[in-house]
Amino acid sequence: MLRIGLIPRITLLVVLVEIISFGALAWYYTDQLSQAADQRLRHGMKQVVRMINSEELPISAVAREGLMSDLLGAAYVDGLVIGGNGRVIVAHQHQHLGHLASNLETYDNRWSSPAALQGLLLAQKDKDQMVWVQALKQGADGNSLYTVVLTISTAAMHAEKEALLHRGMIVSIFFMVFSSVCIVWIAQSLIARRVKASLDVLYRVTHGELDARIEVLSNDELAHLQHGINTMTEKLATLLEQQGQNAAKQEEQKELLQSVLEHAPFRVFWKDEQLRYQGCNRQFAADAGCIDCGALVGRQESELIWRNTLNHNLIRDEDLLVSGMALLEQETELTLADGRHIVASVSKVPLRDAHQQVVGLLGIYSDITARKQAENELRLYASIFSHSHEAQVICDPARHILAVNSAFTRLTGYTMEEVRGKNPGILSSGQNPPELYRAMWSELTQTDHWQGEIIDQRKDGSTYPKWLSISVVRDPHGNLTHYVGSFTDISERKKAASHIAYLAHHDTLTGLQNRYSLLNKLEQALATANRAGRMLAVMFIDLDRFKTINDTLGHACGDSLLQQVASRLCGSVGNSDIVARFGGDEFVVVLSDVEDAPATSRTAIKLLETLRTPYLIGSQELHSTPSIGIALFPADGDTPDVLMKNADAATHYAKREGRNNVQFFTAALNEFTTERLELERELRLTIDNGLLQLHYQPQVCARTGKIEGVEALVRWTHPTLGSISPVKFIPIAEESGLILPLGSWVLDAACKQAAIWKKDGIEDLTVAVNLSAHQLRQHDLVEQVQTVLCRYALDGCDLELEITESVAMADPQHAIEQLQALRNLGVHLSIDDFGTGYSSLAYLKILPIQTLKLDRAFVRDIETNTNDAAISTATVALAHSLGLQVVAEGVETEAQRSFLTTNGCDRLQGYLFSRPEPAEVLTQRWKQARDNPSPSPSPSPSP
Amino acid sequence: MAIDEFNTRGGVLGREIVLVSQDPTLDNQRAAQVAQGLIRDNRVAFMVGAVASGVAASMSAVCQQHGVIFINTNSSAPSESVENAHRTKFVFDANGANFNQALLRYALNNRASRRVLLLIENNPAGHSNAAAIRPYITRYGGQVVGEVLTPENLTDPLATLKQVAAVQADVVAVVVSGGNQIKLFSQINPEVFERQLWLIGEVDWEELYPAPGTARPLFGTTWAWNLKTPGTAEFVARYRKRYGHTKLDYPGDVTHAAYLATKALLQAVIRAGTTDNHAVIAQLEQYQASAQERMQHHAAKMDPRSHHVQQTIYIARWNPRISAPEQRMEIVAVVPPEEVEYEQERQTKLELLVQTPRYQP
Repeated sequence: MLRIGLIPRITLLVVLVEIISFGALAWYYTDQLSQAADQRLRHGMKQVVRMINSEELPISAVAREGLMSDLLGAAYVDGLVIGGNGRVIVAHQHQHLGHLASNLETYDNRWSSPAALQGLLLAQKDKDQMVWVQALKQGADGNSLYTVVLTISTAAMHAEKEALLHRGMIVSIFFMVFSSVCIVWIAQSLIARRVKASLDVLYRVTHGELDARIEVLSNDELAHLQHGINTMTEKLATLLEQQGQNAAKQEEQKELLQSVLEHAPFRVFWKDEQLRYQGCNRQFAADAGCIDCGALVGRQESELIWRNTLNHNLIRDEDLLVSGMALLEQETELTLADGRHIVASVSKVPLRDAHQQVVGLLGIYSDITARKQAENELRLYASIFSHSHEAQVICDPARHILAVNSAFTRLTGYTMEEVRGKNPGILSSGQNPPELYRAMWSELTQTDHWQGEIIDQRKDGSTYPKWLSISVVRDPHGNLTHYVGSFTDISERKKAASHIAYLAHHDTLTGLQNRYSLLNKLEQALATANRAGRMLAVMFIDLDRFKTINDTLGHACGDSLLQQVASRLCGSVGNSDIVARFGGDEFVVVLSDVEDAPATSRTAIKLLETLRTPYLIGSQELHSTPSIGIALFPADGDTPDVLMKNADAATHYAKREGRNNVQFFTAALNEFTTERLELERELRLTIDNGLLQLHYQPQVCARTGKIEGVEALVRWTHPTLGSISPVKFIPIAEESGLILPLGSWVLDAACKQAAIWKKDGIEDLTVAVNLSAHQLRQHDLVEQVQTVLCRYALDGCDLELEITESVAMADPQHAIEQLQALRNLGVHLSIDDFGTGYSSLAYLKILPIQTLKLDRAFVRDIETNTNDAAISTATVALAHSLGLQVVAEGVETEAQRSFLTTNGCDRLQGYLFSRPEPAEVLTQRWKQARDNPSPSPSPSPSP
Repeated sequence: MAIDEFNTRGGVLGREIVLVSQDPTLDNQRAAQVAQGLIRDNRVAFMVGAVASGVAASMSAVCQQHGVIFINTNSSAPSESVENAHRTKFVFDANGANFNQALLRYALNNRASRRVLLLIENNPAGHSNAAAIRPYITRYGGQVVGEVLTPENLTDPLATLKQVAAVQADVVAVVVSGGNQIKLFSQINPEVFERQLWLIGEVDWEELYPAPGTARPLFGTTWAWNLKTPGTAEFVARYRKRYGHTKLDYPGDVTHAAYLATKALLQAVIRAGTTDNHAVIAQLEQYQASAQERMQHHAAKMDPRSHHVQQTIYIARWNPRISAPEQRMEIVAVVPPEEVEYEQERQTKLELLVQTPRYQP
């Protein structure tokens, strides 16, 4: 039998099918093409006629060959338009124009037939032409207006059709041959070769080459078959390999199980139904005190070291055998063979045979002593964390909040549930500068710790300062595990610090800058003015006689006045200017930008006017005036100290000029001030060193000429400057406060001298000492006087204290109190310089004084000036009427003595009797007089 | 051709004449914008246009505003030289009034009885033109014996022709648009025009008649290329040498008018010795041309009152049976200009020269 292979059979079939298919296809397409060409021509001609009928195309187009050829897509042979009158009105051949169409050679009767109204295609095959005739319907009776006759050549179309047929046949045959060869070649490639390759591989597999595989190169059905063979071969190989491996694995697992038992981090044991040990791992054997596992087999609990828990365990083991229920993770304490006490977590499960009968038990336990300790510690830390007064927050490395304590909730308003898993940034107020956070993270990264102050926000939106401390927690390997933050609200502390800072820089009474702040700000203002090349003015303002107001109306009133002064000052200068209370009743105003001295003067005068406007304190209207001294930068100094000093000097000058005025610092003032300061410094040294001297001027009885007392007068002889007048240094002492030590020294020295004279037997001599206003205001004046009298064993009547009229009347009430206390000591009191001030007779009457001293101004011209004489006479009369004695000062002539004596003056003092002399001179003189008595005017005291 | 003649001789006043062409379209408003653009952007010296009457009126109004001289070579509306006349506009074509006068006079003088039928297109233009014709019928002894109206969109010309045939008339004055004329005439046997005179006014662009085989009645023209006037043959030869290969292979009356108008303008500039518009206007107002210069039977001249050239009118008809192209148009009468003067032009009011802006390109 003839055997035909797969490929030849495929070849035969392919050729047969192609011949049939291509033959039918060629016939079909040729026919369709031919019909399409006819159709296209017919359509083209209809289209042209339609366009003429609708006047889209002028009828004259029929005469244009090129245009018509383009429109029809074929060679245009001829064309006519025949009018309703039967004549050619448009013609491709112009000789036909105007002629009757029926006379044309090409005329066909069908042109005028009714069929022409529908369009008539007349094929002239003998000429290879096609004629389209269409009458254009017009009018109600259906007469045509025009008849269009279009003739085209079909020769080209027929030639093209034939050529196409020939080409089609050639191409078809070629394609049939080519495709057949290709199909056979492809079949050979895709099927036969691959089948052979597959059979080869199968042969190798059957001979034991289990790793042989078919090479699969495509993804068709054959490829799927090849894949199937490969997969089957692979599974077969795997199966065989696994069988071998399973046996080895079983052995390995057995060894592994043993190893696991031996190296497990827990103890393992198992018992039979009688609760005898049947096996264990080495760790258990060691705990139980056995040298190896075998030594334990057959033994019971009662034979082991942990007998103390024997009963407990036995009951449990028996229960387990009966119930068949496992006991898991039971904690118990054990005493091991090495004596250690541990906490163990014990689990026991029943062991069952193939019939599920309990035949023993398997037990394990772990030493959880360390874990228990850690848990206890954790509980302790948790308690600390929860009850800490500091807010605590713990975050993971990604800065998600893990835990917060109750203090955190109390402080921030957020509960644990609200913040868990969130970033601590929810607390941020947005008020901290980014640099702070950068520094914080930088320090945390480098040192694992940071602390500092930040401003955060509570849940209710309020912000608060807090002191935050953050620590990084790391595991033993140094990996960051947590951030722990703790913080406290430092709002109160900040407020306190702020208040302290405020107090440090402000005067509490007036709210103005204080002295310390003033100097700082003045320094800054000077630096600014210096840079800007501007002038600056420092005004030193001293309230005139504030002391008096304070003393007479009380401190509350004085304080209120100072507050109003401060308020007025603030309201009178600009924001950039400085207003400060320098101390007491002294204020300083710094004008930070002034044009010149006149402008400054105007401002100062304005301030003067403002400050001397009456003050209403309570219901009382009060008058106060300021003295203002001004120093200018840079003319009068370029440092705060110098400017302040010079402004102060100018203020003093203003005071000397009668107060209530403004004075600029000047060079002369500078000189004066310098000299004054020098004198002050010298005076202080002199007082401190006790280098002053006292001179004494006698006071004699007008009637008897007997010395009844001396007035102690202080004298200062400077080593280089010579004798310095009291007129010069007493004011300095008063202004500088040196008057108090000076007064004390004079009192002491005078009393000392009085005691000497008394001791020398010069009796009935009263030593008069002048008291300054400052001394009179001293609260311990009386004590001082008493102390001095005691110190020198003098009686009160040995001492006379003189106060000026103005001092006594400045604060009569206080003066009365002080003088009364002195009077109680027995001290004589007199009013000095009477007549130069303004004495209130009412007060004079109640002052506890004994003597009035008529001022030398009235005595000097008493002989020639009737007024002076009248005043002197009236004073004597007044004094006497009040029960007082009168001492006249400055008596230099006999006539003066005579007048005064005649008019009842009690005592006289002056050059007529003696200049002020040192005690030694007087003592000497008196001693001589005692030894050699002579008549007046060389009086002497009573021996 | 006219510009080339001058440029070949060295230009005008030593300056080359440059032709700038733009299509003004048939939209009057658009045409005004084109005129504005030519003046503003191109700074043209003059405008010469063979355009429709409405477009000419629109563009010339713009030119008058700027003082630019506008030469109308082809608009036959009588209004161009009366109500739409301007000091800067000069019309070189004969108008409908001239042609109708000539045609009616010829037709009525050549008929024993003078019965006239008016065939009117039923639209404002048709009625307006019919009204213009009536006085001339009366003037030349005619009598209107009937009116036949045709619809603007003529779909049944045979019905119209039946109405015409029903009236006994010697002359049919046709006041119908070009498209409807073809529909009508293509239905008529040419012998009808032998015994009954049909008049259709002026025929421009006869060379471009879309249905040349159509029998056509009497019409008027100002020139035909087959005239035997001096200079015509030479002009036609020159034209055909240059444009014989184009669709317009022979010059027509419009070509003739544009050629002569352009020459007249450029000669006026030369005579003025300047391009100043006032000087050139003065020269154009004095325009006169001999019959030889015009290639016509009579001399022509510019009417300074209307700026309308008064010229020879020809009565013509189409010859349906020809053996040579020059036989196609047959001139049947020549009418001198003074016989067809349009009386309304005597009342034309041009802007004063002083009212006309100076314009010197």
